[in-house]
Amino acid sequence: MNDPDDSLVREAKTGDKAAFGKLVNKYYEMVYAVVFGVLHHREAAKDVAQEVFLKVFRELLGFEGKAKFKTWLYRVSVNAALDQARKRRPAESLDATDKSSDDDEPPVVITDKSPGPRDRAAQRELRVLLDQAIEQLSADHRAVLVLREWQELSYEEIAETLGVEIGTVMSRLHYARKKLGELLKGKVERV
Amino acid sequence: MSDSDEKHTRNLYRSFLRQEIKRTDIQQAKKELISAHFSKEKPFFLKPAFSIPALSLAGAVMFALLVGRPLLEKIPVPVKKQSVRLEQAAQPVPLVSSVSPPGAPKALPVNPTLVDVKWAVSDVGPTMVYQKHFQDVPVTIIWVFPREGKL
Repeated sequence: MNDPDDSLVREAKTGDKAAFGKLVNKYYEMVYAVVFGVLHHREAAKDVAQEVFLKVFRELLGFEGKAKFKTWLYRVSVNAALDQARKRRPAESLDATDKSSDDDEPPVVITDKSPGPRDRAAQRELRVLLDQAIEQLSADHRAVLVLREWQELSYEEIAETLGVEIGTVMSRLHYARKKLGELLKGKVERV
Repeated sequence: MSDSDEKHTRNLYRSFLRQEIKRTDIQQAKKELISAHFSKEKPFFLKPAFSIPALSLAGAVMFALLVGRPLLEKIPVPVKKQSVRLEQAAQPVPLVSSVSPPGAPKALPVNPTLVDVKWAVSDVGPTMVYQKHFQDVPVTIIWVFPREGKL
């Protein structure tokens, strides 16, 4: 198995923090996206992403290199996010992003051929709808969704990562897609 | 759910996450994580606790090099036009020799301490040259008594 991160991992195993810093620089977005995909909460996702990297650095000596470093990293990430989701009490809902600053961020671009004020408003509305649709999914459903749609893993890889049956992965994915499709149906066409 | 709907939802979801990771606060969090935990350790003298004394020292050295050297070069060297009067010893030093008994440890060679004091006169003023040898290293001290208005 040829792992492109092998040399950096070996250097980091000797305690070279700068070498591990290069791995953080390379994979931060991936880890954050996976964690945010599960938690759907920005601040919690930042904290968990940081904990993931600190944990991986601490446990790097135990990494035998049977899987690629990237594979190990997203497995740790998704499981850390699920642990965090289970720790939270239901009252402390994770299903809320920081809406206060959403107006400043760029909208989701779908078919933005001539973005006028009306288009931007529609896209902002679409993002809100997508937020609401994702909120209605459980952390387990979101985990399957992010691993499949963002990380583009196979059903087998998702099942192995989450420690569930392939049938469970397929049913969760079907449910998540159906739910999103239902909630966005009509709204997306209007945009 | 049709294939096109599924594809459309996937694209929408990916766009949503792509925009999320591009946010400036996320990029800032990444930079802070790297600089706080995974950057190269600075040498101890570059750490904040040492930065002020280190900068002070560096400043003093730079001052000495840039300002001190030209000032030193401006000091007239009183070696020209000098006349030297040597004061000889009143009587010659007797030569002493000894023979150690066989088997006795050899004594370490001792250089006699030679002190040479000379008076010189230059256009700056009276000058005294004091020279002493420590082992093989000559140490020379020069006193100059500048006349008024010469410096």
